[in-house]
Amino acid sequence: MLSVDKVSKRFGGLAALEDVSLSVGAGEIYGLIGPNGAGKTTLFNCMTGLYSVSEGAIRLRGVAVQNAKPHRIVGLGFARTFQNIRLFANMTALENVMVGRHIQTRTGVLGAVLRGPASRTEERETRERAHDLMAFVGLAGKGRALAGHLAYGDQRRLEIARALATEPKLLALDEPVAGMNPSERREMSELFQKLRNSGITLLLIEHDVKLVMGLCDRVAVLDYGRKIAEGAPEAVQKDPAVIEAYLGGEA
Amino acid sequence: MDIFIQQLINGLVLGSIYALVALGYTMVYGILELINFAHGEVTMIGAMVALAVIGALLGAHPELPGMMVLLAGVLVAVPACMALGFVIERVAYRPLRKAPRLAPLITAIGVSIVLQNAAMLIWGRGYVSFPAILPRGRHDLLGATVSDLQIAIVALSILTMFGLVFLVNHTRLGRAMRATAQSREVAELMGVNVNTVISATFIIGSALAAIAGVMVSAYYGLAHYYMGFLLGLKAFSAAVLGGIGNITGAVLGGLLLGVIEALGAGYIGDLTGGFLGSNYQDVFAFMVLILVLVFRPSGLLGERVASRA
Repeated sequence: MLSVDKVSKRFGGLAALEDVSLSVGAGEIYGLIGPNGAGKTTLFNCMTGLYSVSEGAIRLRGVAVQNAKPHRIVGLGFARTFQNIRLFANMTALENVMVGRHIQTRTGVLGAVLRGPASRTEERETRERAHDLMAFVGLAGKGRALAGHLAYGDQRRLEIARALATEPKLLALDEPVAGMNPSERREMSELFQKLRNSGITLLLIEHDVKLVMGLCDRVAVLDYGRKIAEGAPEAVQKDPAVIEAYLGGEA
Repeated sequence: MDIFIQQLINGLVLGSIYALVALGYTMVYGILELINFAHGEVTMIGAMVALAVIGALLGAHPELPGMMVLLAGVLVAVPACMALGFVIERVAYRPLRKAPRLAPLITAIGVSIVLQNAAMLIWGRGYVSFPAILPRGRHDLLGATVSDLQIAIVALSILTMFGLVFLVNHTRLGRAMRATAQSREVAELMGVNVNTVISATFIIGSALAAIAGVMVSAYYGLAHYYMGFLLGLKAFSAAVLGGIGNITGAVLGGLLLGVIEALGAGYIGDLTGGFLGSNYQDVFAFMVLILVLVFRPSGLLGERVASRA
């Protein structure tokens, strides 16, 4: 599904990523963990086209996407959410999801102005699909609220619905349960299972090691821009290098 | 009282033209945070192209009905300006997307100068007059006079503005525009081709400018290669008055500015004991601009700049 091959990213003299390789298989829930500043979000940004990579290759379903435009990568079936929620706060929740449908729809300026039957059908379908996705993530009936006015947990769900609207094969979630209480975390964990069961591959950046360990099929651990471990959660958990990275070498 | 109502009507007519031009400024600013100072010149080109087509048609077929000739002029001027807006963005702004903010401002002024001089070379230095093809009916309204032309200008403006509001609020492109205005980066990561959206914004704004250009030349009965400068500045003032980046604000600012200007021109003679005449009308737009910048820089409906970041 996704393969990252010897990717490095440098900002000036600072190496944020060094020679990172990993591959995510179709249908997996793949976790990416590591201490603060390990380069997880940088790697995300390289994958989604926000940053160009300094070296290496990223392939999405066989297509080389390093340095491709973000909307092209979305078109190939890779959507994401953000660590610090980045909704279109002044638009309604439903409209946020409808923006996600943009890439799946066609109507241009002329069609929109002339309101041909094709564009009207498309607009109706966009709206219906957006409603379905809102219900899927547990936000049924909240479509009319401004995105910025939703409760924190709902904003996280809305980001997922908006990403799903692009019809991704691979969904990358950047700390999706940050700031949530245990019961909210459990609900989100159930949502992730539901997503996997609907055939979407998940890539998860998470601080919450417990959640990652319970949910992921495989995890990779980043520290100082390098991958220090990869494998099944139980094995990674016992890896001395991982324990050292998390506990500062005192363990 | 008669003069008050008369000037109010004149102001609303002028204001609806300002509003159409102001919309172009405000849409581009909303998405790029860029003042497209060449926008006034696009208005001028719209007027000039329409007049050239009208003149040519009347020369070849003087028997054609006036409204048909006018329509032909508009139907050529609007796409011509849309193409012009597209080219301006591609040539003068897109290469500077990541440059410091002053750079595209300079190229905007450069484009203005190029367009003015191109128009001067093509259509000459003199005034081009609007042929007498317009309906000349007049009606009484509360002791004031309203012409058919004034009614047509206001009606067409309202129609155009409703069209724009519908486009922005209820279509795929409009949603993409609003999303891009809030965060270009996130919109792109959600699959919106931001470059297409920016091009579309320039194209739509330029279409409005073309319509406004034809209206203004019809209203004053003439066009001139330099007309875009003052019109552009006033429309920009209107956009700032309403709160730049805000579409409702641009309409409100345009109408308000037109009314302030007309009332100011109507009463300035009385107020100054005849010392200043109605030829000082242009002063009011800029007084308004200065007052807004001093007392309410975000405009009537504008958001605080910090909340956009």
